Amino acid sequence: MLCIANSPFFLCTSMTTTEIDKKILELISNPDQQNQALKLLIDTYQKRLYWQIRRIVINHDDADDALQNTFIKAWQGLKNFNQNSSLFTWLYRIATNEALQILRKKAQEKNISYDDVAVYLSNSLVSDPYFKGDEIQRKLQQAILRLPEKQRIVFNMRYYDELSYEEIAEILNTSVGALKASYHHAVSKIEEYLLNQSE
Amino acid sequence: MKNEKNILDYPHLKENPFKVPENYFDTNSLKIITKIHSTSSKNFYDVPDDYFETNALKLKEKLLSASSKNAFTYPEGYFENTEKKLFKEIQSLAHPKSRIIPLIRTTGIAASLALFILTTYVVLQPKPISHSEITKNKDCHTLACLTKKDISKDLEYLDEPDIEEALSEKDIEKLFNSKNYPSSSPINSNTVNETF
Repeated sequence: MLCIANSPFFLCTSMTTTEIDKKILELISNPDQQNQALKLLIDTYQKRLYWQIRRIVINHDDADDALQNTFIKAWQGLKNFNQNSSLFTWLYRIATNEALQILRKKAQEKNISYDDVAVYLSNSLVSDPYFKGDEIQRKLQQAILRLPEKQRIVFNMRYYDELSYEEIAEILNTSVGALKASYHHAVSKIEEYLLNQSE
Repeated sequence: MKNEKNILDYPHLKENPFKVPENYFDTNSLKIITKIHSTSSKNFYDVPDDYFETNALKLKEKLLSASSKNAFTYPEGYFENTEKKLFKEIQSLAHPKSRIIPLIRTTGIAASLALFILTTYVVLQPKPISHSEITKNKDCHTLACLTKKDISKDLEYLDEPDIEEALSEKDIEKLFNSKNYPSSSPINSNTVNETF
């Protein structure tokens, strides 16, 4: 069952994501109901997209910026949305790109390389007021940040969001086999890091 | 390997370690909607109907017409001036400068130089000394210093054959022809002096 707070329809129904997507697209086609469509879109996806972004950018303010940009771009492109893929997959792709864009921007601002941004974020976790994790959780996040970009994204989607390989393949536009290999490598590296840290 | 897998399977690790400010998601939708509306209303300018649809075609036409034009330019009146320049050049090639004038000039200079040298030579040449100048010198003991009297006096001691020997036939003949002397008249001292 899917519950959407503050929905124009007070949705707390058994509607599936696919049904909600259809409803959003239906409302968008009517100019008078576009605001309702936008609110339904944000209420349905903001949390999932926020956590996907947050795990990439680590910092809340950056996640907030990336989330806003994601919805702005989604809204601008929604009229031309190709219904061959699901709205959720499409939004996830935009969110991931926006999160990575934020990291590149941060590298430029700090005048450091893209790889060094991960180190910077890893160190910032200690003083982040919006990080409530304990020592082992912090070390896990640091291990994830040490991964190459693609492995990090695949690991987050698979481990935290529990998306299927097929869904991840659609979002990242890659093959399931490659994703499995990436995830396997990511897991090995993280476990090795955690074991070394615990010794 | 089995132990390593257990680390990530530990439920505590899967818990979300991040948090958000209070009521973040409750207020977020309104914030995003406001931002989207402000973003979409930022553009105060409008374009004519079908502007973007026809613009691509216009641009293509412009590019095609531009590509057929020569991208290089040349100074104003270049070809007009070039024609004149070329014409002059061709004319000068067809009528090369005469070589006679420099030859005349060289010859003139050489002739002037030669004339100058000759004049200098003539001017610097020693003048022939007249008899009066020679006789001025009292200590002169040469034949040229002899006066008419000295000679006529000396002639008295000479035989006729000696005189004839001293004077060539031609000189005597020339002398007689020019002065119309009578063939019988004896040679006087004046005549002898003139032949010298």
